[in-house]
Amino acid sequence: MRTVLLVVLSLIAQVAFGWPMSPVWLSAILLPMVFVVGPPLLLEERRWPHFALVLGLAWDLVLEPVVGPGAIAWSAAAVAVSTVVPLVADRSPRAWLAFGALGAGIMVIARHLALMPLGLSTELTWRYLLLSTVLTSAWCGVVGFVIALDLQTRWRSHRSRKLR
Amino acid sequence: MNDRRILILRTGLLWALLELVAAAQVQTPGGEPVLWSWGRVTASPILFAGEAIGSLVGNLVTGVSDSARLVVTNSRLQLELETAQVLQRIAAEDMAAQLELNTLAAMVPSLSSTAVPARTTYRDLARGRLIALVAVDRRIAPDTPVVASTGVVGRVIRSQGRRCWIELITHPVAAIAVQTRDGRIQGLAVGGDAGDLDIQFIPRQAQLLRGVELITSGADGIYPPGLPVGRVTAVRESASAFLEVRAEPAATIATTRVVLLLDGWMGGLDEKDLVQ
Repeated sequence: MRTVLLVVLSLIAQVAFGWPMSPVWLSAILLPMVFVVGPPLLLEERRWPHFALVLGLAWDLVLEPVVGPGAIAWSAAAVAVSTVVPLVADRSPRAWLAFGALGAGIMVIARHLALMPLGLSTELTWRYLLLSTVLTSAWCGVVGFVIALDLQTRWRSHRSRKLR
Repeated sequence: MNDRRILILRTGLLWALLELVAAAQVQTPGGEPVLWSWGRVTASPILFAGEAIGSLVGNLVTGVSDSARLVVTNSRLQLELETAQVLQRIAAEDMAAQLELNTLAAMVPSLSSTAVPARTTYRDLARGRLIALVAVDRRIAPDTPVVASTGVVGRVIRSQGRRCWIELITHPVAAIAVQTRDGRIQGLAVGGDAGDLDIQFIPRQAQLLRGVELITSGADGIYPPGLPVGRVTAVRESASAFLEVRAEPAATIATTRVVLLLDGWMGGLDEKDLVQ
């Protein structure tokens, strides 16, 4: 339930990033990517491709002109990340950074490829691809860093130390 | 590894399904869903192949039916051709008969007004009989002379309807009064055994040679005078008072097609003329 809430929040934030008044680069950040990169890195059960599919359908409903391409792109990113993650032992924020970049690149390209036969795709530029990859990677790295900090444990230990 | 393949396959199918769902939502500039245009493009080779096969089958059926019709038409034309060939032969025969008739008419111009042409339908040379079919339904009197284009054939012995039974001059009991062209030698031609004529009553002192033409003298009261009867083939002396003379008939009885029945040729003569 908490995850669903977070997904909804991320989608709302994504819509807000694409607001006409906001900077152009802001919409290049794929906020829900953390829900694709996170589960395999956190060693959760292997349901993330299905979860990514649902996430993509939600993405389509909110952000795409038609339902389908987003689901393809997000599930493709999830499949790619879930394939590569078991090959790497690193679970540090650096891994979040790298897999975030991989997922973002796959998602952008897959989305473009899915939209192309429908005649809805816009021109995919290297600049946008790079921008989206870097910013999404940074976003995932930040999330990974925050998770690595384990603030909840630190807070609890801090409280217990003060109470002593 | 197998699970991974299944996963990839399932994921691929899922993506294809999602792409189709998306295509169903998008419309072409013509207002047609993209999915339909994809379906049409995919099905066009199948439709083309189906159309080609249908056309092929149609052409095959048309070809077979045309061939069958051609065979039937060919059979009909072959039948018509055979019929035409038979008709042509009949027409050629009629033409030859007509030519014979013209020759006959030229030979007996004074008798042609009362003469009746007849077509030979049956001949029995061994028995000296001939059956002819006259052109008009008219009763022919017995003893009517019958001539062909080459000479005397015989006389009518019976007539019924349009059919006439003719006794040939070669019949053993047939007899014709004959003479030479100059009229010096006269005799009686009777039927011989071998289809020839036996000329009787020729005096021993008569100067008769082979090849002399014999014509009717009219002395028998049946045949008009002057018609060719035969040509002398053999002259021999015998123990009797007369020469033994053989002659071949002038008429080609075996092949003649048309004969002329000189019916009423004596119409202009009276009984007393004959007596006188």
